[in-house]
Amino acid sequence: MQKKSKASSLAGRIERLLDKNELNCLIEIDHDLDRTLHIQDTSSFISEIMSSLIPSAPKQKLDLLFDTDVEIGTFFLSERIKRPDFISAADNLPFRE
Amino acid sequence: MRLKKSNPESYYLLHRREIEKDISVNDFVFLSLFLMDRTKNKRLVEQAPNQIYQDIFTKLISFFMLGDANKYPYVEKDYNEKVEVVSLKILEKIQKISIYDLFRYSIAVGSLGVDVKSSASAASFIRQGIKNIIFYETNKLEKFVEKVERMKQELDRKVSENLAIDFWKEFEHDFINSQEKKTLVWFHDDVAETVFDLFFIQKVLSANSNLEIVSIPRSGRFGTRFGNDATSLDIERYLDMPIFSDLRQAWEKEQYNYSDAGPCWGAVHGMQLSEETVDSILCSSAISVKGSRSYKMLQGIKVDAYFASMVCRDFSESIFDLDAEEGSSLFLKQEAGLLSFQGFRRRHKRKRMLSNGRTIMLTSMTAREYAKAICHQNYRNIVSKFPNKLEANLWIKNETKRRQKTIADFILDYKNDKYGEAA
Repeated sequence: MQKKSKASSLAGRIERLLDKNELNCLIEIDHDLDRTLHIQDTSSFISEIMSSLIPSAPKQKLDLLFDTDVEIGTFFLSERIKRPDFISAADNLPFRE
Repeated sequence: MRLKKSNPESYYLLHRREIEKDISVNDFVFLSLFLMDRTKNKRLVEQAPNQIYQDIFTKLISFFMLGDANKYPYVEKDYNEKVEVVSLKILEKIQKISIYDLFRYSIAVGSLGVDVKSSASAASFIRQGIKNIIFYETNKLEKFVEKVERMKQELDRKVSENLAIDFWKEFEHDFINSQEKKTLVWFHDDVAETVFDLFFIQKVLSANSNLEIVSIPRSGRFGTRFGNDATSLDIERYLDMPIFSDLRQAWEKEQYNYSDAGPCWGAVHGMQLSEETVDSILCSSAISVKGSRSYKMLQGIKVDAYFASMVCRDFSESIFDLDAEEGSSLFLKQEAGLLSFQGFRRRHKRKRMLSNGRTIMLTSMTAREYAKAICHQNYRNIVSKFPNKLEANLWIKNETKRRQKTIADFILDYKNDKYGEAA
């Protein structure tokens, strides 16, 4: 119960921050999934972060370069996040104390 | 992930943090990683390759603190300024070497001064050895002139060693000696390497008027520095230097060009290319790519791709089957549409003991195995059955998937009578 209220509170705060930055994203909290937020907007926050400021070619052009089943890189961050070295890697970011 | 008050840039961030103190940077980054993208039904962490995790963290933090994901802090300023000066000094001393040696310098220079680089700029850890890093800091009494001389000598030693994987002959045939009009798209990496790349490109363009080269460094459009990588703003600056006067002439004649629409990550992310970059690749005869992370993120690209890098890191030694502590250089050709390594996730199942007793993990197909297969007569036999190489390569890729074999095993086991009819 405590986790849910913390997550809800964080979701609200992130939503306010996103509003300030005019991202026009709606966030709702999924109470069944711990620490998982959902975005209800076609121009999702992820797209904003991943590509709004990074001009990315249209999909049909990228398809000329790569097969649709191609996997980029060695593995995804979701696989690394389970590993013990992830936290130490995060600590090595330039913002560390 | 607390902020450092003594650093002016961080202090500004700290100030912002106090304004938005109802949520911590840590919480924001962590929660953002788990945001669900409903258009793809995947979370950010499920879409982000490990190779760019530090860029994603930095973008999230920059976005949160400054409202702009591309306002990166320039953490490698000290490193870049030092290695750029040293690189230019070394270049002055090697004006008359062969094109091949110059090319090998451009790879080996990637190990220059890695000791002063931020530990944040890594997708996997560096195996620090005496042979794989050219140290910038040795002793405080070393004068700059002595430093340049020592680093040059260490580079000379690296250049005198054979490339661990070497496709120079193919590259030389296809581009340096080509009598046909060819266009090469060149993706740069670090600042030091880029200084040498440009000097190499200058020599090659002078030697072959049939060749055109397009440089694609990291984008300089946002005035941001992605790690220690060169941007289009650096190339603009280098073209004004007397040492690159011939390259400037080539640029004025449009034999050479450079783009400011390159990657906005610390590597070339195949799925995050600008439209301009994709168009350049599609119009090219091949691409040449520097940097190990970019190599991993351009697997399967449907144009011929040459990759040059050093093997200094944990992941690379699994992929190339080379001891990272030796710091070998390599130059690999990846045929259009093929993968040049496979099965990274299964690397724990395949191990090899090195001559020094250390055991390394290997991918299901290493790049060395791929290189051996691609040079085998069987590969030429397969290609001869198709109208063009790309069709042959895509057939190989599909067949290996169907038969659950690696590309190298499939090619080496190939017999005309066994699979010929399928082609």
